[in-house]
Amino acid sequence: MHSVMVDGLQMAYLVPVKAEGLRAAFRSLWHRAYKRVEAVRSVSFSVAPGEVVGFIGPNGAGKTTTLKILSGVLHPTAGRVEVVGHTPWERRPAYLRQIAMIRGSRPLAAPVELTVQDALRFQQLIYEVPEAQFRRTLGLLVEMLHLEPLLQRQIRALSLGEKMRAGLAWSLVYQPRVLFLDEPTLGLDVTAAQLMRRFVGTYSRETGATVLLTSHYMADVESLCRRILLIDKGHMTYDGDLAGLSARMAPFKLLKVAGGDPGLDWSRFGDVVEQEGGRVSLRVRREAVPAVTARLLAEVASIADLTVTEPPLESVIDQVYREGV
Amino acid sequence: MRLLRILGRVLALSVQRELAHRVNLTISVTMMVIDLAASVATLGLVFTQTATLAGWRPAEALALLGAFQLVTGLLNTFIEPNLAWFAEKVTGGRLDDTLLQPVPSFFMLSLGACQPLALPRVLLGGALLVWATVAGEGVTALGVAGCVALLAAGVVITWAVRVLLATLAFWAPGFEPSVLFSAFWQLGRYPVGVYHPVVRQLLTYVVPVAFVATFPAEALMRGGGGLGLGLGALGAGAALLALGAAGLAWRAGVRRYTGATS
Amino acid sequence: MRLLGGYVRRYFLQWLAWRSFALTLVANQAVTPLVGLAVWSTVLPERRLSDYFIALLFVRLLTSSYENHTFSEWVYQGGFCDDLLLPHPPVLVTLGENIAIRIWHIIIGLPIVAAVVLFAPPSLRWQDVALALPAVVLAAAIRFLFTYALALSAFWIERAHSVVGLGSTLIFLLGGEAAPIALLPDAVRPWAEALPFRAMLGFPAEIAAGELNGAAVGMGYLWQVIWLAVMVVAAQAVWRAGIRRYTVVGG
Repeated sequence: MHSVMVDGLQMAYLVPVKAEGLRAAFRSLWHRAYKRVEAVRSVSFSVAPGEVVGFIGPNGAGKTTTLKILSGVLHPTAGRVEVVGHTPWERRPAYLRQIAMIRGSRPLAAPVELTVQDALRFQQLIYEVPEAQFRRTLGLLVEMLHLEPLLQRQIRALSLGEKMRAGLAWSLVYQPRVLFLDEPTLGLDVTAAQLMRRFVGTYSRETGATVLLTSHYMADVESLCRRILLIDKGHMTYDGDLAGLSARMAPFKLLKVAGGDPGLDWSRFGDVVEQEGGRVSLRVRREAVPAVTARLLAEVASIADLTVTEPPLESVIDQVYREGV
Repeated sequence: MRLLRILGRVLALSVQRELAHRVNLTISVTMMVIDLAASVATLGLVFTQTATLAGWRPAEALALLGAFQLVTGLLNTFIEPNLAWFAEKVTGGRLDDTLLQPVPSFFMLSLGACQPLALPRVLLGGALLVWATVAGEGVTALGVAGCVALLAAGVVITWAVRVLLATLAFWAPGFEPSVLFSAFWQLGRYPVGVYHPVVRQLLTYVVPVAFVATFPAEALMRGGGGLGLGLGALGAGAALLALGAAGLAWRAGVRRYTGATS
Repeated sequence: MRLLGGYVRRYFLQWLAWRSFALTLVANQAVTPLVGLAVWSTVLPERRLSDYFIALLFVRLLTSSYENHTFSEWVYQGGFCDDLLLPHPPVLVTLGENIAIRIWHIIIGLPIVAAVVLFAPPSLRWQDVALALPAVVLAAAIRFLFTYALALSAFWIERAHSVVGLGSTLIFLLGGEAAPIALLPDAVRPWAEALPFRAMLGFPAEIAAGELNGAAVGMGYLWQVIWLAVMVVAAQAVWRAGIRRYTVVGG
């Protein structure tokens, strides 16, 4: 049983090559040079209903292209895709009514002159939502997203954070079963981003909606996604949980120790990363962590505190993007 | 039916939006009246020098101007807000939003927005037509019917041609057909008979502005004796043909955009 | 002057990117003289009005002004306050773009003029054309100042487009475009000859088409010089009042 199934996806397109300088620009009026861009080369995965999956990868990796194919906007060069039983690019109304695409770059794609309420009503008409269901869903969304004060305001006058909240309601008022979120927290302040993350998590849990999201903010992925797909230069290079990626990329953990005698030689236990006052950070291979901890506790009498931490996620991801898995 | 309801809602929302800016409304209507007065004055100038313009008497030319203004009003209200600068919408991602909606993209993109500020022009054009009907001699019921049918055909043809031109953006994103269209459109204010024969053919068959003004006015003012019927049949045929072509081109364009053919 | 050249160059390159928009503008500039050509040639075939309208087309391309698109929009979008920081009169920016757009108009418009000449070969005499050239320059200057002054209304109202549009309608009716000035009814003609609209458009075309005798040419030039002076004063006055308002109200 799967909600999204992607098999051997490939997408290539031609883009015009922009010429430099005035003469070349004139020449390009008549002769356009094109180059073939392989946006997605081989991507296969499947997602179960209700799963929240994060798509990560450096800029230009093919994440957005994949989302566009899944939402039916683009037709792939090769491969098979099934989302809730439909082939997306046939763009059947029955399919389009079950999905939502939410972009952080343009969270609310409705005419800016409308009020939020009018835009929502228009969605009701477009997506044929029965009145009773519309009222019920809208009531819930208004409560969860604190939309009450925004309903009568013009979209033009909303701040980015407000636009994102209204945009979520706008995209979810027809209760889609699959959500594609493209950089949903782009440009949001800390509070708005947190609200957004909490909301998406709750929404998925309560409605059983499947969520695929791309983001460059690890906080999004960390708090929402049990599973991540890493995509790089059009290839899928990792499918699993964040901890697994971390373990693979960074085979070390940090042991932070407070206390101990001043003259103690810490390097017996691991690489000393930092030593300051009575605190020491030691780098230890993952598999050795239990043994080293035991030794520390046994051999060093005056330990006041000891913690084991993962290396910071951002630095792991940075390493992944630069060097690959 | 549902499409009609969506269209109605689009119009209602837009009217509601524009009524909020009463100053803009007043200025637009004033400008429209001035523009129309200038057109009528120009016709007046022409007829100080001659009794007929390419065989058209003053009342007939007035009817033609009325038909032109009426269809221009409809064009600017319902069609141009969607299809002008369409290439930008394709490259800017607006097309994606529409493709995601469970409503035919052809419909949403060519009629999904409107500009009610242009609507008064329809009324002004209609008023000119009535004026011409009163001033002209020998206007028959058959002529009026033929004129209405041809105006409807003219609107459909305009819509279809505009869609056809817009779909060019799928193949040549740098090319903006609004250019040629708006310029050629202006030629419709006079009988096509005043233009060079080559231009006349162009205006009848390629950018069919003749169907918008010349033919309806002809049907209205000289529509007795079957001319109206004949023109009406021609208009209906041309409208169906244009609409079919527009639908096919649209589908091919969207297929190309989504990469289905490459 | 070097500064102005710099702006012309900069906007010339910028408009390279907007060439399809430029094409729209040119097509719309060209269409009314061409319609006039068709209509009036049908009405009065014996008067050879095609010379006049071809000259008019050329004058129109050379004198086109879009300060409502360039300047007023710039004010509405809030970019104008940057211009006030410039260490030279901000009008240079607007004038530079105006000239750049006119250069583009000529580049894009030449094929149109060539096509028209093929369809309706004109019989212009080079002496007349040479005599008209200074008038074209004057007309271009008056037209710029006129449109600029109207576009400055953006400091007060949100609909500067309509104000400039009203100006264009007057130029169309009384400037020799709807009908050559000589064909206007007797009650209107003397006014049309003296008003600035002819000085901006119809007058150079009349000289080029060889429709004026020596005295009429002299009179026309006199009117052009007078109107140029008036427009300079008027544009400056509006500018000062506008800036005062802008810096007080903050746009």
